[in-house]
Amino acid sequence: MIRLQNVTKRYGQLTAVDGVTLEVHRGELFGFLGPNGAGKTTTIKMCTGLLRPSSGHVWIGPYDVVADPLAAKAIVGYVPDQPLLYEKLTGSEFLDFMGGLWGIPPAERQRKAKELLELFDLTGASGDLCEGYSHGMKQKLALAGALIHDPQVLFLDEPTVGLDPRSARLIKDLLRGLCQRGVTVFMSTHIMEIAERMCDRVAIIDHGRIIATGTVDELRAHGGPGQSLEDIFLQLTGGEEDRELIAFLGDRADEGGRP
Amino acid sequence: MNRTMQLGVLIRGTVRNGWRRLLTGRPGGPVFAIAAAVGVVAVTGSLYGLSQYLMSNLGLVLGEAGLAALLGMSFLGVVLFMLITGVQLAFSSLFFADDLALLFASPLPASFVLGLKLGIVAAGSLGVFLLVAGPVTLAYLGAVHAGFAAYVVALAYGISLALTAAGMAVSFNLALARLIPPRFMKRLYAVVGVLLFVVMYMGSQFLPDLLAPQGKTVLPTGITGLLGQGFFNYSYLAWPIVQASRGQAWWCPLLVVAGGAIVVALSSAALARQGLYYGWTGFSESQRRARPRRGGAVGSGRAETWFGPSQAAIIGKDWKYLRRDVQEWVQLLMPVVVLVVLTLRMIWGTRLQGAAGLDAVFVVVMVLVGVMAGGNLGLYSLGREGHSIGIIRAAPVRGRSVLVAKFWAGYLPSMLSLAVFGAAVLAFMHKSFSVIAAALASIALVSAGSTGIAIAIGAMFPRFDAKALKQRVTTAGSLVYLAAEFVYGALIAVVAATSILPDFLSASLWQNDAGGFLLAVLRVSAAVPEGWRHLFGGLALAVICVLAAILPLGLAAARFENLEV
Repeated sequence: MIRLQNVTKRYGQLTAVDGVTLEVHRGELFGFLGPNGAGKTTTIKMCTGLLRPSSGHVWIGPYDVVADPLAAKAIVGYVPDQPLLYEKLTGSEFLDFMGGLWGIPPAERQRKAKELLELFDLTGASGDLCEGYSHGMKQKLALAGALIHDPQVLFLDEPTVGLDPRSARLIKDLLRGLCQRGVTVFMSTHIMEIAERMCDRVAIIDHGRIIATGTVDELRAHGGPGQSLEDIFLQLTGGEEDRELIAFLGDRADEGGRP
Repeated sequence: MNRTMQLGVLIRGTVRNGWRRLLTGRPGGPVFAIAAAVGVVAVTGSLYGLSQYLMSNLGLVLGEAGLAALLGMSFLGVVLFMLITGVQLAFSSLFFADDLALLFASPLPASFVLGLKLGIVAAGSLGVFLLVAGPVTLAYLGAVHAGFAAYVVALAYGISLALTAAGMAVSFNLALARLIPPRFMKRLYAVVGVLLFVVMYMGSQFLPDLLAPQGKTVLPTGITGLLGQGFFNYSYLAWPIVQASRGQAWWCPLLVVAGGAIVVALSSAALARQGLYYGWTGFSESQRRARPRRGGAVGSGRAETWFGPSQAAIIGKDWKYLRRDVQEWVQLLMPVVVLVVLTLRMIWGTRLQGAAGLDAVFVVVMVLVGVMAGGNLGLYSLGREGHSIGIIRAAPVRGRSVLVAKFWAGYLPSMLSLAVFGAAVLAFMHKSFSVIAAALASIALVSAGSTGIAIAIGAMFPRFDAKALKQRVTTAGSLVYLAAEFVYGALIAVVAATSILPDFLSASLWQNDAGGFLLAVLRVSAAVPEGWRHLFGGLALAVICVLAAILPLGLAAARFENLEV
């Protein structure tokens, strides 16, 4: 359903994404892991048509995102890491706007908006301007906006950041339910526990290159016995240096933290 | 780290951050810095040249006392300007600066942080003083052959005034924040900005009549009368400088002013600290939930029939923003203000009253206002999306459709509000139906072209990361926009002039062979019968406006299609 073939993105001398090749199947929940600045957001933006690849191809279903962007975008939903909303619209107006952009008839989008507001527990705030929403409410509204046109593919950039445990659980359950209905979910995250428990397959990207792909069990098989996904991630992305730092800070703490 | 070191680090960090934001925080940073520097030198140099010319010539008529009063009068304007800019700068520094939370959370004393913010406001006010009052003061000191001490006194006086203005601005904001929340203050300042524009514009229009009430050129007499020779004399506003330039005792007046400045600054700092303690300074502002009176669907059924769902959604969203965001709707007020002032000027102005062809001038005024109206909303239309542009770019909507939606969203409200207002004014003045119709057609056409140009340039040079509406187009975009609107306005003025001017200008004006290109065009135009001339003029106007609306949008659409966000 999502296919990236040797996709590269360069900004002058900097190569943000370097020859990424991936395939995500229909109904799969795919976790995209990597340290900060590894190229996760850039990759997602190329998949959603917000950035053009410097070389390579991205297909969403049968559509090439560069050659046929409108057809590709029509079946995609996208939730960025920082929720993009219009502050001077109310929650229900925002959903109506999103439905309009995707060409949904007014009656249908009003029905969908009502359902989504109820699902995300936003009905009470649906008449308030978005500028007064908390971060979690904004995040939920952005996800509702991405779902209003029943996308076949959903791209989520750090979807659980800033959510309270109840909302995070709601989103996890929702994503699982979507995948069971055949929606393909491509999700970037820093939280290994989420990737470990939720994702069918994961890919790890570092310095713009894919360094590992497979199910969590397959990745574990490559690591040592009893290793968690976090251990494997740190091993692959050079996070051992971080462990040394943590150990150093631990020693300092033992000494009483004196300078 | 001791307090002095902390203060040093704080100031160094602030200056470095400000400088880098100025240079690299915007597209084409170095080019902007060079252009800004050239602009500052040009404006200050011109002001100095003009002041020097006026001082040396008026000095013969007014004498030294008159020049001192003129200097004081210019200080009055500068101090007012410093207060206006200071109030806005203090507002953003005390309530909406990005670094406030970080600074207050650090182990720095609150007085350091608030002192720094006060210093930033004072530096801004001093900049205003040096750029505007500096050249005038230099010209005055040169004209009266003042000694070196007078220059030093002038600088010290400028610093004192800047500190006073900053202190007053900070105190004003704090007092206001005590009464109303900062989010309402934001709206209030936007409205105050428009009111100031109105006052300044009206002043610029009516001041010549005030100075010359008999319609004669009596400038020196008018000025001497206005300067006041009795109880209040404007030279008091430049007291220490005047004293120093005369070689008289200047210590006392300077000490009074400087002492007053220090008292005001310290009081405002103490007030700010108190305000921080009680929670009405700094980052205590939180967004309260607001429920608009008219909510509901973004697009209407009829709009969807005309424009399609995607475009109707964008238009509906923009119109809701126009209603709810004060920064947006004040843009519509500017051209209306210009229209009101120009109309009043034409009704009561001594020069045009009863002149032949006044009707034609009305049409031209409408045309000019149409240019302004179209541009005001259009230029920031795309940049105003901010980071939310990602929503539109991720949607299955062509770039061309987005820009067309933006065009209608900007064009319809500006054209309709102006047309309604223009028609009402003209009807009130008992203008004929044909004049009203011509004026309205001109507004409709010219606004369309102007909106097209503005939206296209705004889309080609957007800035999605700026906070203020006026910054949501790059500097290069602003310059290109000014140039494009100038060319467009000039083309329209030529067409309007050639089709209308021969109706009421004296034929002797263009009968001789001299006069250059424009008069040659007028000669040809005057030879054409009036009806045909108006018809051709109207057609030419329509063609120019329609092309101006369509062609730039086409260019911008191609660029917008490749926009990466």
